Amino acid sequence: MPRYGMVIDTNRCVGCDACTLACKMQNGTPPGVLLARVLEKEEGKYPAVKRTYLPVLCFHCENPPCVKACPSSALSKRPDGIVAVDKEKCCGVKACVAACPYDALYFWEDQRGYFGEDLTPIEQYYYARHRLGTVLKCDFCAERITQGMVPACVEACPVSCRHFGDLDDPKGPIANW
Amino acid sequence: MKAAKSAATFLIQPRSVHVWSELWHAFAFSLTGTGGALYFYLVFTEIFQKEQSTAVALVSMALVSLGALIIFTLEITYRSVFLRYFLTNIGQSWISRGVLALFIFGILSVISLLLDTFGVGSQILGRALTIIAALAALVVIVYPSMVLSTAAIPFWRSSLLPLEFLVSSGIGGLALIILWQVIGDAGIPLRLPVMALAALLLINLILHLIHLASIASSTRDKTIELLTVGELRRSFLIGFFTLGVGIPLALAIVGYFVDELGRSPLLLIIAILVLQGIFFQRYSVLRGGIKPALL
Repeated sequence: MPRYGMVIDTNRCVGCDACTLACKMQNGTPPGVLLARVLEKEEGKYPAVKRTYLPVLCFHCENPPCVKACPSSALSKRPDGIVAVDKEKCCGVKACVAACPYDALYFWEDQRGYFGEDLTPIEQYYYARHRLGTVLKCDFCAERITQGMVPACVEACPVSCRHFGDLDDPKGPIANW
Repeated sequence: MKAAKSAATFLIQPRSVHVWSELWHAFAFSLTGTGGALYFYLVFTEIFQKEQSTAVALVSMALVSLGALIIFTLEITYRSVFLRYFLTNIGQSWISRGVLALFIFGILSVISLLLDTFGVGSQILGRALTIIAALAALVVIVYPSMVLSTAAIPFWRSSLLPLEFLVSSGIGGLALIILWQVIGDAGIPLRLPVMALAALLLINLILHLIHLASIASSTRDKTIELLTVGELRRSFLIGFFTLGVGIPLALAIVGYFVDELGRSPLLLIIAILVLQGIFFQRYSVLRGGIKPALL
């Protein structure tokens, strides 16, 4: 059984947000829900100014605080290492949202799309996969993984700062990290 | 404002947490806390006379039930799903434990009340049920703070928070006892409750000062700024600190040394101020949560 993980070389990240968009397209998340986003911070004074980029997504913690907080066991750490949410068990208590140190969980409460109340056809398609009033989070694009692909954010990154693979595979893509 | 808020979500900086409806949660936690404490005093002290115990039990159950109902209806999207699965994570989730305690409190307090009213069953059984219900009430008082203390927020993540909730609920219970006597003239000697109230107010004050001083440094300055000069200054400094603790403490000390002069109105004022202070304490805690910057 593989134990999936992702390594992000933050020195290579240029803050292009390709990962953010790829994730949004892959998962069809509603407005305000960004399962993979890039944070930034500007440091220093002109002319010695530096900008730091920090890609943030669910870190699929070894000891997930969100799993402990959830009263209905909707969140669980799978044997393959992915922390996933079962939308049928999620009751919308949002304890996980408060527990997560990385703001990786989003509570979907507004059914409007990017263009208002009337959803576009693609929004109708994607939003039907989610459940209003429950929590959304990154699941390492579990559907893509089962098909032998990498998560959308990994594939989209133009500078190859994201590496995904089996943590226990000594010859895998993240073994050297 | 919306654009500024959107931009801020992409910055590496401490950020305020607004997960729940703080106003309703503060109100609900105040109700469950004071109701639970009242039941605890009913069971473990001799403060109420036997003929008052039914009414007191009903009031405490009503307060706890109302608080629970507020959370249940306003903050849980899929209530039937919650009821179906909430026991599955009882080993880790404080929400699960708290809800279980709520059910135990509710069921056992009703059963013991019925047994007492209809004179059914032995006194030992009735007493055992009320004691278990009172212990469940203790969990009901404390569990919201335990839920908060597992969040990734330094201000909440303190072992002092459950103590603060416990002490402030104890204060609320005493305020209700004072109200019971002042409004209902129930023959309750108030000297001891007033002394206890003053002592708990002082303890509450000290706990909060230590708590503020011991917040993790990454968010300490921001939290204190928010509570003292920021948007929470009215609710924290005025609502809780001054009106909820300082003035009632001073009045309680005065009331203790002044025998009968203006006792009733004075104690009525103390009780009301204290009860609103409990609300503002919880509100300030819920609104004051700040997550640290990730770098």
